[in-house]
Amino acid sequence: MTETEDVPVPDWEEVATRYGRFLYTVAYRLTGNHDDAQDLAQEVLLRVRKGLETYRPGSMEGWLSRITTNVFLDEVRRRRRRPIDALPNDPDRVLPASAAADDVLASHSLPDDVQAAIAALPEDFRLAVVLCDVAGLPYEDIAEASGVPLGTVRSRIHRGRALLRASLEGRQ
Amino acid sequence: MTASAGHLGDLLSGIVDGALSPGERHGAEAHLAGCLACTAELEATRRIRALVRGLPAVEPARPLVPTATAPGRRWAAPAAAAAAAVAMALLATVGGQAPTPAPVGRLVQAHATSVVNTDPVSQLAPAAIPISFSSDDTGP
Repeated sequence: MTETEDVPVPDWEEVATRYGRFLYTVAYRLTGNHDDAQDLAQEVLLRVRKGLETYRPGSMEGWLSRITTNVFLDEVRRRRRRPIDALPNDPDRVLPASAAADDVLASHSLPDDVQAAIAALPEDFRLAVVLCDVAGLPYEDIAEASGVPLGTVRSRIHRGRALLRASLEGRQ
Repeated sequence: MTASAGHLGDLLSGIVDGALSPGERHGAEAHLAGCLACTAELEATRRIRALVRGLPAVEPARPLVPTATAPGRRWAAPAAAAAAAVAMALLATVGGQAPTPAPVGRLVQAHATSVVNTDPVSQLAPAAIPISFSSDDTGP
């Protein structure tokens, strides 16, 4: 076997079986609901089946995350062309945190609250945070997947986290 | 460095993610040693990161299959077809498995009956046996 020379594109059924939960979890955290997560995950599998995405040997999670990012960003662009669907994109809502609020945050935030806060993030920040903290990708892979420089990735992740913090503290 | 703000800013996420160069990290640690505000924000960043990373995995509501997209009401028709196929598959699976407990239950009941019928000596068995077997029988 010459796996490093000529690696076949993974079969979608194998991807769905072995990485379905990973793929769906990333899709769900990105979209915030099951219908859109199902659409997103299935579109990723469709691209896998059609061989639309270049496969390079390495982390399967990284590859699937890159495809997921492409599909997600395609959808974001599509919606931005229709202003009625566009989501608010206001990165200046970041608020400073207090230590007391952080204590409350750590002990009382439920998964649904965290998910709701993620869903409320502007798409670029949401994508960066989900790729980092849900998909577990390193900054380099996030930069490649989203087509932005490393510094931008770090900035989006940090501002996304700051927005999450502000949002979760506001619920207490 | 976010020199204009005088604080570490997004370098804090770089620290908690282990994504700084040695030089950046050295500079950031030197700043942290004398800055309570950045130390507090570093801790807050760690907490929010742990919160998101601690979210549970999510299972697909339906089996994942590759389907075509269509503008507007995307995936609707293929998803319905897939759901129908899945429902049929589930029915077939359930249909194949469901009969298993029933014959067993009937055999057990028949056995219990035969035991009771062929053991007129015991006065306790008829009272005890149906209780234990009936709980098996109604289980599925």
